[in-house]
Amino acid sequence: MGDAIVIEGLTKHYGERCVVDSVNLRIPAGCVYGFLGRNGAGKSTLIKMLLGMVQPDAGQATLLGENTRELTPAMRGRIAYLAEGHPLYRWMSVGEAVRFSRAFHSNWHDRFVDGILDHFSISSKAKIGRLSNGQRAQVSLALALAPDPELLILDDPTLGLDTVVRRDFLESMIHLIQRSGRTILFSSHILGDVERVADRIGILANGVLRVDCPTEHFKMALRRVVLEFVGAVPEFPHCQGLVSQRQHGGKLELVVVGYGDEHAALAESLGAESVEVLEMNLEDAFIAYTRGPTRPLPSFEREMMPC
Amino acid sequence: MLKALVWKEFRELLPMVALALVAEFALVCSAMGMRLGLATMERGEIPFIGTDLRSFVTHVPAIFAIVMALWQTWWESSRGTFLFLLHRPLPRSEIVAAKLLLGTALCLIVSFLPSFGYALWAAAPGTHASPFDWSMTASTWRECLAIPGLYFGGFLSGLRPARWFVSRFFPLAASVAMLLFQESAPEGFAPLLVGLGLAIDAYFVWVIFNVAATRDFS
Repeated sequence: MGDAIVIEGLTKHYGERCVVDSVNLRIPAGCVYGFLGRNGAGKSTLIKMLLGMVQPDAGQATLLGENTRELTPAMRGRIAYLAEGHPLYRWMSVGEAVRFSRAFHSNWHDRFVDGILDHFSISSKAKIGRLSNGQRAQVSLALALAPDPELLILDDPTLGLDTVVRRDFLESMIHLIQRSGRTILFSSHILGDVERVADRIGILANGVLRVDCPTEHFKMALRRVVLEFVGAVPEFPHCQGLVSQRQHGGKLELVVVGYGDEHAALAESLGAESVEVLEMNLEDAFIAYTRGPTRPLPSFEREMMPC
Repeated sequence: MLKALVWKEFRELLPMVALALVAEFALVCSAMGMRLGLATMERGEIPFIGTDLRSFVTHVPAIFAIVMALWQTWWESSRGTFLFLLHRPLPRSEIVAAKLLLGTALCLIVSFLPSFGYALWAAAPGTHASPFDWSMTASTWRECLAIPGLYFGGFLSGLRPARWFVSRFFPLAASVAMLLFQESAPEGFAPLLVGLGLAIDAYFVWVIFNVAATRDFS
C-alpha cells in the first residue's frame, strides 16, 4: 500500500511568526498516526492546510494522491474531518444534522449512524445545542463515519472531554474505524490518548516536526541520563541525540535519543562522579521534546543560607 | 445538495426574516391608518410622497440585510461551523453561491413585499383621499433595489480577513455611502445611480467569491 498522506515542506506564517516550518511527512495507508504537540504548536494549522482550509505559504501536500490545494468534492467525500471542538449547528436536532449531512453523500450508511447513536444513547430528537461536549463529539464521529471514509483526520477530538468520556470516545473510535486500509491522522496534546491508539507518532514543537517514528520506537530510544558532579556543573556539549539538558543543584539531567558509547564518553570527560541512565515514559519524553529551553530554577537553599 | 444548503440557511435566517416582516407590516398598517399595538406612525397624507414611511420601509430592510449578511459569514466563522460546512463534498463556490442567492432573495422579499402591499392599497380606489399614480412609487423601488448592495457589503465585511476591526467594515461602509448617495441625489441621476449600484453589487459578488476561495478559515 502507498502513502495516504504526503507532506512536502509545508510552511505557514502568521505575520512574522512561523506557525508551521517546512514540515515533511509521509503517512502510509492503514496507519493510525498520532500528532502530538502543545497548544499553539501548529497541529491545527497543519491539519487545516491538509484540508485546504488554510493556504500554505510554501510546500505542498497530497491526500490519497490528490493535491490538497485542489481537493475535489469527490475526494472530500472520501475524507472525514472532525474539526476541533466538534462544530455543529446547535439549533439542529441530531436527526436534522444527520439528514443535512446525508444530503451530500451518495454512500451514506443510515444503519451505521443509527447504531452509533444508539450505542451512545443519543436520541435523534435531541437538540445539538443541549448535548454535552462528549455527546457532541459522539454525534460528530457518527456523522464523519457514515459515508465510510478512507481517511479520517481528527483535530484534537478529545479536547474538552472529561477522562471517562475521553476514554470511551477513543475506544469507540478505534473499534468503529479500524478496518483494513483506513488511515487515521489525529492530533492531541494528551499523551495517554496517543499512546493508547497510535501506531506511529509525530511531535510538533513550535511548528517544527521534531519526531516521526513508531510509538514503541520513540519510547524505547529515549533515555534520561543523570550526571552527578561535585562542585560546579558543566554544560553538556551539543551532540547527536541530545534533546535537552537541565541543571538541578549538583546534577545535570539530560534527555538523549539512542544513548550510546559516544554520550557515555562525553559524560566521563566532563568528570561526572556518577552516571545514571533511566528509561522514560511517553509523557516525560514528550515534555522533554516540547518544553523548549528553560532557564535554571533558583535554588532556595543557596539563596537563603549564608556562605 | 444545494437544497439541503438552502434549507439550512433558511432555517437559520427565518427568525430574522419573520422579525423584519412583522416590523414592516406594522409600519405599513400604520401608514394605512390601521391602529396596531406596535404602530406609532401617523397616516401619511399622500402615499409614497411623505418621507416617513419611505425611510422606515428602507431602514428596516437595510438593518435586516446587514445583520443577515454578518450572520451568514462572521457568525458562521466565529462558531467554527465554516470548517464543518466547507468540508461538505461540494465546491466552495457553490456553498457561497447558495448563501448569496438565498440572502439576496430574502433581501428583495423583505424590501419589496411590504412596499408592494402598500402600493396595492394606495392604488385601490376609496382607500385614501389623495391622488395616486404608480410613477410615485419609482423612488421606493430604486431604494429597494439598493438593499442587496448593503447585503453584499455586509457579506464581504463578514467574510474577508482584516488586520483590524475597522478596516474589516470598509465594504459595508462603502455600500452604506452608496445607499445614502442614492437617497439624496436628484431624481435626474436615478438611472445612472441604479446602474452604478448594480455595477458595485457585481464587483462585490466577484470579490466575495475570490475571498472565499483564497482566505484562511481557521
